[in-house]
Amino acid sequence: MATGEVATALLVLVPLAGAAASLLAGPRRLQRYIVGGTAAVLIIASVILLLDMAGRGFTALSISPPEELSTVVEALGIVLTVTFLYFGWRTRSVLVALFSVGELIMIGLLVASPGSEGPALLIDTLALVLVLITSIVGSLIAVYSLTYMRDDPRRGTFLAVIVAFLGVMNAAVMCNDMRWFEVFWSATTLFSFLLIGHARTDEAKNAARLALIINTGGGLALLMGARLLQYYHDTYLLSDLMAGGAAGLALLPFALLSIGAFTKSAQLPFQSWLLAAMVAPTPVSALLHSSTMVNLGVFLLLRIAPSFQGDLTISAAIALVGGLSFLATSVLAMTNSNAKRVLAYSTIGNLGLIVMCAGIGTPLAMAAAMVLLLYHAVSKALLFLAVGVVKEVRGSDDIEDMYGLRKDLPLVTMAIFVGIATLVLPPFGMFVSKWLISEAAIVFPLLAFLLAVGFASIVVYYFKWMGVLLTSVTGPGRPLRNDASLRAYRWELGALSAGAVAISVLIGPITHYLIAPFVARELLLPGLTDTLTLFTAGGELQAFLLLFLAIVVFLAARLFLRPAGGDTPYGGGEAVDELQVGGDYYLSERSASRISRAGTAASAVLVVLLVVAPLISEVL
Amino acid sequence: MDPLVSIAILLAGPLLVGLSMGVDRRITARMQNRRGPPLLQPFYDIGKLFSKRPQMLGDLQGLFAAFCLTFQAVAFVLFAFGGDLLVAFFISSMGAVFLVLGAYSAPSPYSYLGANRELLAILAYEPVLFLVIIAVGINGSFLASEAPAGLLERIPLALAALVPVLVILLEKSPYDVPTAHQELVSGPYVEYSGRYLAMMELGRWFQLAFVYGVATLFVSGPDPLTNVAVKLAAAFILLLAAILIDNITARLTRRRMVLFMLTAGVGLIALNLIVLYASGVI
Repeated sequence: MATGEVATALLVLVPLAGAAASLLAGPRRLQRYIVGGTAAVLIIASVILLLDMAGRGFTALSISPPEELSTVVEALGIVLTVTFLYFGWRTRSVLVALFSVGELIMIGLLVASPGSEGPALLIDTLALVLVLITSIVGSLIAVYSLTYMRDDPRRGTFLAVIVAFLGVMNAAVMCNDMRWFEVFWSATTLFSFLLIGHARTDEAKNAARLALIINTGGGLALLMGARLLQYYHDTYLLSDLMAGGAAGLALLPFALLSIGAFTKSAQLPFQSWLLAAMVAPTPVSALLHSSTMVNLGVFLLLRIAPSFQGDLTISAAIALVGGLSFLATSVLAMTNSNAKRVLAYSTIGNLGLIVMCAGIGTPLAMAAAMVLLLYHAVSKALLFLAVGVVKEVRGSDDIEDMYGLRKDLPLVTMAIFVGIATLVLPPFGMFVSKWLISEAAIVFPLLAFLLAVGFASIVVYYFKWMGVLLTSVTGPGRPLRNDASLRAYRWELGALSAGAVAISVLIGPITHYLIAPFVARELLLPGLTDTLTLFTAGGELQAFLLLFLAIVVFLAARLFLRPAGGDTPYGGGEAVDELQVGGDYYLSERSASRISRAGTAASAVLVVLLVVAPLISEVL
Repeated sequence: MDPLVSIAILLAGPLLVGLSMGVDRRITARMQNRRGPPLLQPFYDIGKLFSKRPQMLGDLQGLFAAFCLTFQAVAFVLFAFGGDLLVAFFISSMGAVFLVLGAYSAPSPYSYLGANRELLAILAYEPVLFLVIIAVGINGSFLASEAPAGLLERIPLALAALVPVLVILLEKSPYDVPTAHQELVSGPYVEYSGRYLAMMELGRWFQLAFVYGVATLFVSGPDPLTNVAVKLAAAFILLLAAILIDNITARLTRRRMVLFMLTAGVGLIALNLIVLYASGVI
């Protein structure tokens, strides 16, 4: 077996073994070693895979596993669907039961109609990027939850599901055969259901049930898409799909696959499950939002994007669903005061941007989508984990309870600042994608209007939050030197902060080696190759130079600008003892829910259009 | 683009903005039957601020002031050297964010309220400025050095949309919401003093220089002399419009500001682009 194949096997099998061990292991000490060891193996294996790919010039690696394995995976798929049926009965959900019966029928049809033969696994740079995200960011989250869940009586189960999640996520993104992909996709649905319902409160149970309903529905759409893919294109292999050219009913499988992707990535109108999932413990949110689950939807969309590009209706509808999800959630995030909810909206918005890029489909847009996927994962994980620490210390994750956090928890505040800065500020990575998207959107100017308001809203809600952390209610003073509560988490937060900055520094090589090969697979990419300056057809970005400048100014200002403090604030003649603060959330709950309903309704229309458009174009 | 020209633009930009501030104060004074300060008063002010000992509340204010100035200056450098307008826009908008963070980091009521309002001002003017630049990009290129000719004929409404943007950035009625001197003294700037206040002010000059710079891309002349003349005239007309609006209106609420910009401002550009598409120009 070659190095790459060994790494691939480790990336999937070690987490599954670790999960089993964690379930069986009684003592706490043992769990520490199991999860820590699994995390270490995952990180090392993913780096080996990266080096192996680099050694082969980042060409795709195809693996054809033995025939027996296909049978095992097929059986696993049936077991999963039966499990859904069981949980549908347990949660008294008719929809889940219907969806899983539908899934069973579809699986039967898939088995009955074999497609063309080919490698079941394919690791190109898109898969590699996702494997790196899952294995490195996901492992850090798993290690974080060791500490975070220390007082939980069912910690073993929790850790087992988290670790297993990483394994199936790795497996899913390496799949080339839709029959395999569907199985691991369902596995993430099951694990997210278990994690969301972990607390076993009524709220948690309802949230888990909602997630199960929407995601089994999405799974059914996926399976129908896979079946129709075989019917119209005579293949289950994603690598066999042709770029463009599909018309009429042949577009229907792509529409169905996109709908499946929307459910998994919590795009409007299917966003409700991800928002409800906020009841789960913070590591779960971090895991679902940054390194697993939601990435799977956009991953599929990026894989099939070249195939529906020929049809303007389909690609425009997909781009608009993404654009609407971005705009609506960005506006709603401004009206919300709960940090986890704000982050959830921001996740949906960022994924919306990726969906939009997949809809636009130009090389520039595809590059922007991959940059977003990578940089969002790291920064969002950091933000969730930091909010988790705040919740542990202050007992609340409401932004209104975070005034003056900089004084009590300077290091957590720094972590949140790094997270926000890398998500919003130039010259960090996310800004590169913002720029690429904006320049890509001129082929479809309507999207530029959605972007304009959305980008400004992002600045408002993130920096309003940052302002709360900086605003000291008790007057001037220096931050605490010792941040005792953070001790337990310093490695996870430190590693993610450093990682978020480091990948921003490496934006040139990353776009050159990891992103350009995938993007240029089918479409020729102009520019974007220089390792220091990024170019597009009509623009350029001196990313590295800007980053260097920012660091110099930061250090210089820290060293030389030390304002004399201790003066009393200006109060118009009155003495200011304590600052009266209160965040502004602009819209009443009623207008916010009106916006949410309008966005959901509009995107529901677009989703219906997605399915109807191929039928109509076939008839005409 | 000739580097000498770029350097000339780079130096002239903020100086001209400073001068325009002086002109603004004189014209406003005359409109109100006053004499007004000397033309060079803004420069004297900056000079004086640098010689004063700063009194600051927060230990991060200096850092944020430095970032504010740097980001705005870098945005204008990019513009002057013919760089990407979108990149310059995003960098400039970060300068504005550091103004907000600096205000939040001082534990002071007026500064806090000012910061809250400045965020809303960003929400109001940023989408419009972004769309103006997108409209320029649709007509050719995002590079300032390759700005397509004849923008004024193609997207005149985008230039008009820059007027309310300038009104907000120049802190003029009806949208002087963040600094509102009768209510908030000077809002986000209230706890800044000495050289740090001067840095913030200079940052604002660079920001304005960038926005005026975008406006100058809309017009061009056949030879260098008329080219410079029409570009200066374009910027000056925008300034005059802002001064006139300032003197005939009273301050409106935050909500009105955001709603106006996101409907009328964005609408103007949308209308212009629809006309362009309908007539098949692009």
